[in-house]
Amino acid sequence: MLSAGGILVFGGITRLLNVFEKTQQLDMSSPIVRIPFRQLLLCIGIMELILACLCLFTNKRALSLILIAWLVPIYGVYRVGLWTMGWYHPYPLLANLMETLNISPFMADGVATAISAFLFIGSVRMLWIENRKTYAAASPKKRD
Amino acid sequence: MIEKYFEAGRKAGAILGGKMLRRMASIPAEIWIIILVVLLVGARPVWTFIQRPAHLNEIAAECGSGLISFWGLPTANCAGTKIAYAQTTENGLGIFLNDLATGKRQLIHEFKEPDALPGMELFTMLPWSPDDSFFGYTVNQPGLKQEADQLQQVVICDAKTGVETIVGSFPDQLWRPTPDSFFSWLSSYSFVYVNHQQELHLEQRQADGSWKDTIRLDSSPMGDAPVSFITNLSGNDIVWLQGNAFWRLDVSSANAPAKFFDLSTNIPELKKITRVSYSPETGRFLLNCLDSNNVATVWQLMPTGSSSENLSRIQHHHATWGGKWINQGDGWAYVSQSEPQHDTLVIQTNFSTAATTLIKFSVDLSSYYSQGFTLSFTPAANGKRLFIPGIFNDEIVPSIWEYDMDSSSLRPVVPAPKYPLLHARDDRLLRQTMTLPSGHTTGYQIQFPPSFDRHQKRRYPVMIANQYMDAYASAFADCGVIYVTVGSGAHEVGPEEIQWESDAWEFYKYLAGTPYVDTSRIYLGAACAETGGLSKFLLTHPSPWKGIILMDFIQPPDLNVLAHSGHPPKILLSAGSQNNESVLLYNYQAEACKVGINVELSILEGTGHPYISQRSIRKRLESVMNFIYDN
Repeated sequence: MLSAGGILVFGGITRLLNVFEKTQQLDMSSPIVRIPFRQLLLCIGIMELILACLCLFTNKRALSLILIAWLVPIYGVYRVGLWTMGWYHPYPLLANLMETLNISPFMADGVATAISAFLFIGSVRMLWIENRKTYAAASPKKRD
Repeated sequence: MIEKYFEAGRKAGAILGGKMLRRMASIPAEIWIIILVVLLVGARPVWTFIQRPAHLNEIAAECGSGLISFWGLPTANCAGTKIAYAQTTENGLGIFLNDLATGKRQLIHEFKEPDALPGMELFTMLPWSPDDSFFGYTVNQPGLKQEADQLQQVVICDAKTGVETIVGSFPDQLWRPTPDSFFSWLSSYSFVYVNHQQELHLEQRQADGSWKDTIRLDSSPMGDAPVSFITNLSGNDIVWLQGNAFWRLDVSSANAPAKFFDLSTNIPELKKITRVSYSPETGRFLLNCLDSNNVATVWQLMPTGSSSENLSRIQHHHATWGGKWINQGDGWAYVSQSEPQHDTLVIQTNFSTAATTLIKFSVDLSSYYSQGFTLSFTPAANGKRLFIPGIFNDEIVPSIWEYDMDSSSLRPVVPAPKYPLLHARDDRLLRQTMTLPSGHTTGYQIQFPPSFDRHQKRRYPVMIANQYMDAYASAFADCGVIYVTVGSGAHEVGPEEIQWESDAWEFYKYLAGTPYVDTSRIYLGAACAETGGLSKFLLTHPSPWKGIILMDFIQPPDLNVLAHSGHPPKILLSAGSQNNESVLLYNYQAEACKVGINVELSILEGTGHPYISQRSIRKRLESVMNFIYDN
């Protein structure tokens, strides 16, 4: 949970900082959701920070994991949608990552995909473990 | 003793460190994560802020405000006491009248943005009338847009009142006109001009002060060859040059024009006559010619006399451009371009002596003087004084200089504006040559930031630009960027273009190996015709540039090539809104976004191509500097 929270805090803060950048590309509309990238980043940033708070500062473990497992596939669908429309690099969404780490769009894309995969697999596995624990805890009672 | 002292220190430190660690251990892991993330994410804005020079916008604005240029040559009255000239202003282009004795100047007319400004190569000041009552200029306001319905206007100004009258107006454009290429006074109240349709117009001032226009010759007897020079011999007797032949006509008579002198057969291997100067004192013509090998030759022509006497070649010791009679037709002056980055004015006051005076000016690519961006001059007061707009003696921007033949002295009569430079510093480009690893020796220009010290550890961003951007060199340097141009420039074509590409790449590699260059912040820049060459260069060398700055671009870089270069550069496209390219630019930006390239647009409302007003140049420099420093 700590690692997921850390990743989400990082993502949320970078996206919120991005909102205040003067770059003109953020004023272009996202071809999928039809709102400017700046507003899209603001929504995603706030959502990620809320999720990060859930992960780091509450005991609602199951809810946090479900929300992460719900959010990451949305990213995936959005990314695939962009790809099919000829947007091979989601530049505006990753601009800050590229600039901060001084990496190429290809690399930034790869890092973002790897992190998303980590979050998704991690959250699903954690949910499964949680489920197993709950089941295991409930099983002796049934035998009684 | 010392051992004990250090041992005690170590123990005290260990205790203090232990206490701190224990206290920090009480901070939850979640808080630590947030602290680390904030430190990581905040590093970039802080780093960007640290690298940004103080007063960046102010420096850019100061440099932009100081960048003025002259359009066309100044024209002087017959007495040589007043000059009329065109100079860029805060809002556009101004026509000024300057009293040389008092130094006072009067703004006669100002073309202001956002109205259409005159086309730079469609403008020239026209000569003064014989009695010094009038002077004029020709202008075509839609600029470089090739629209046939736009009018070329001939404007006459009253030198006393400043009142202007549009006396001629005709469709299409006069390309690169000069004071004597299509216009000549006949008397103080009449003049002739040839329009784009090859019609000879006679203009006469009426008693009520208006000007009456009559077509003296229509296009059919004039023929197809464009008129490139026209002058008045005496009274109503005029001579003009069409192709390589002079024609003569008495405007007051009903006669048809007669061929006066055909030089095609008299000058061996003559390709074309580039410029003509006429001396009313001696009645001789000075012919600047190009032969079939593009070698410049100069001839003097005395139209009367036998054919063997009337044409003779003038030997010169320097490469020539635009020779004109001076000193009452006893001598001549011309411009030599034999030295790169400099134009030299060569003055030979008397043909009987071989003695010449050489005055070296810096090339000024911002000002359009006469038939190109080359130095030129206006002889006045019977050729006893020369008026030369140009950059002399370590100035950054041009002044109009007066060279007095009698005292052999040079003085600025319209000095370059001196703005209070609070943050920027006046400096000059250093011109050097170096032999590259390939063995080719190339010239280069470099300007370092004012605080530059090659022995310091500080690394500077670099702008590898081209000559059309030289006017901005000081602005870059003052903003902490090393400004460099290499070789002949990206505007070249053919073998010279290939040579420039090779030189630029080798020079980059040299710079990257120096201890004072920040290799992660190397920018490329080009303007206007150079942008095509730079875009070609990027096909073979798409990396390792941090950014590309294109001003008034003609051809933007290929996005697909840049996108596959690993770490593609960001691009700044700076252009005026009046170029009507906004849609194209926004489409290019959207395409770039798709492939992961950041394209920033700096489109200035009410401005065309090129940027003319000081306001527009100031805005351009501000956007360029903010682009370089990531803001």
